[in-house]
Amino acid sequence: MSAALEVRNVTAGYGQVTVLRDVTLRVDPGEVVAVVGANGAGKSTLLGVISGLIAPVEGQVHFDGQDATRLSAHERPGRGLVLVPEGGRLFPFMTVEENLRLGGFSKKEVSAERLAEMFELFPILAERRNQLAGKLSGGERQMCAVARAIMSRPKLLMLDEPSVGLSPLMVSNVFELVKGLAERVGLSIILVEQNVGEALEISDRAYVIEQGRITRDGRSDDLRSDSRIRAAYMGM
Amino acid sequence: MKKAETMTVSTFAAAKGRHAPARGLVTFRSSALQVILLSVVLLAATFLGREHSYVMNIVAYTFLFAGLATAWNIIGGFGGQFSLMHAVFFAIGGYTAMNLFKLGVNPWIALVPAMALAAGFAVIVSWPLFRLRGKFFGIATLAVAEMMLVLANYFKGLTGGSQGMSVPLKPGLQNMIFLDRFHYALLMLGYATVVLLIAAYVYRSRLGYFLQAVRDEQDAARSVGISITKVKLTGMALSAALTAAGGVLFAMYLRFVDPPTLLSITDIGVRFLLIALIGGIGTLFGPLIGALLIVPLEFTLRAYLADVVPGSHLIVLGGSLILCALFLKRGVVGLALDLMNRRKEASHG
Repeated sequence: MSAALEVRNVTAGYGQVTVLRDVTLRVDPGEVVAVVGANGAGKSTLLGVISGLIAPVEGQVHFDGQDATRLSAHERPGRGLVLVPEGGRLFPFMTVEENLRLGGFSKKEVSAERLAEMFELFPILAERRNQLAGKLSGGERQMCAVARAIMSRPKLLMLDEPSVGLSPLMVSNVFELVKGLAERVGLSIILVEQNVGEALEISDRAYVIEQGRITRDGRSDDLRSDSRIRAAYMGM
Repeated sequence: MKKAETMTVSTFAAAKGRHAPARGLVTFRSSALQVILLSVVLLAATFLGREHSYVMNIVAYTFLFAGLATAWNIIGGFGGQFSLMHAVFFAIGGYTAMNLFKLGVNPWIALVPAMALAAGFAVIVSWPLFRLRGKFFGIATLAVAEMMLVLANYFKGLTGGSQGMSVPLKPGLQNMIFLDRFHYALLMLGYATVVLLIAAYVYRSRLGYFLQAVRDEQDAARSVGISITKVKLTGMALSAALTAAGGVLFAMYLRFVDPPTLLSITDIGVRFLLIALIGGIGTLFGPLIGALLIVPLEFTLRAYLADVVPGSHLIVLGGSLILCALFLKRGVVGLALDLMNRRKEASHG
């Protein structure tokens, strides 16, 4: 089986500062892959490169068997590569429904039924349908951001720190949802997280990123029982 | 009702009328209706004052600037791009009308090349400028406006330089020249109505949603697949074209233009923005309300205060602007909307 996403030897950064060094990773179809690491390790930069917001200095991003390195950011959702930015980044002065519709616009033919599906999948959003997105609670906002992202039926969903700013209960809710989505909708997910424990629990495989380099990778179960990772990231 | 549905839904060509528009949502049809009702009221009010030439002058200016500020609001308000170079599009309109009039082309026809030229110029100039965000974009557009003022003085062949250009008084509808200011007031009201209808349509169209998305969350807009540059350029071109149309009307009203009249930063370029700011940036009716408040106020202050202490009307005006900027961040319309929402929430318990 060919990988849904392959990041090959990517080096990237901002101006003079190199954040990522020679990063290589892959996500197979239907897989949930976590990228975990401390603050400033380069996790968000990695998603920036995959989503096209940041151009890599070196290396390639292959998606669905094609070189996507040079695609601009706004072309990628149409190909099935969608980012849920950190904090959700909803359009605050639009309603929940308007946010969702914007999420689906790159695939015109699917939006109408898709909207109904989303409201089924996220009943809370159906209730809040006509509310301004800026007035949602943290958890609802994250749900709405995820729903907006999957409106266009992506093949790969990128989640940037979905647990930030949420209560522990909400964090498990959101992760539950992510896992459910991967199984039910059958999409690949790449999850970037500081909340290492939870992220390893719901993912199939994981990469550990330290100071811009991938230092460990493997099955999430194995990493979770690894004593060094437990000590470094999970405080055990 | 059926039509209202297709209107909102067609904003996202996606849905095929399967989902009725959400209740309470602003649709194009409902805003268009409001625009037309407002225009009828304003028309009636204009009729009442038709005998007073002094009043009609103020009314004509008010409607013209209502239209201009509404045009600015498309890119400045919906799109959040604080352009200070709209005076340039205004001047392109004015000079195109004047030059073509000399060649025997009537101003109604001149609207087409004027709008096309302004839109083209807007795209060429904005392309590099849109790399700048926020206030840096604003500063760059200010520089463009200043530069064009100098160039307008220099290229005497096209602009008549600092002496300006004028057209002879040849009254007639086809020449857009009237002896009665009342007719100009009607012309300007027509302009404001058309611009408002276009803005209302844009507001609830794909372009309108994209502009707002780009304004509020640039990266999120890209991550749902919106091409930022394309959206901004489209909004700017449309806004510029509508501004140029206002420039044509203004030139035919004064029948005389010179660089300061068309390109002055304080009298023209900043005014579009200030009117929108006071009325409510980014709201559909903000610029109209702003114009209805500010333009007559300014004329009145100038008439009564400027005689007593020269320049004092500007102090009063400046003071009220500062107060608005401090306490009415979303303008008069924004304040009204907030109050309405608060009442609605209170009544819902």
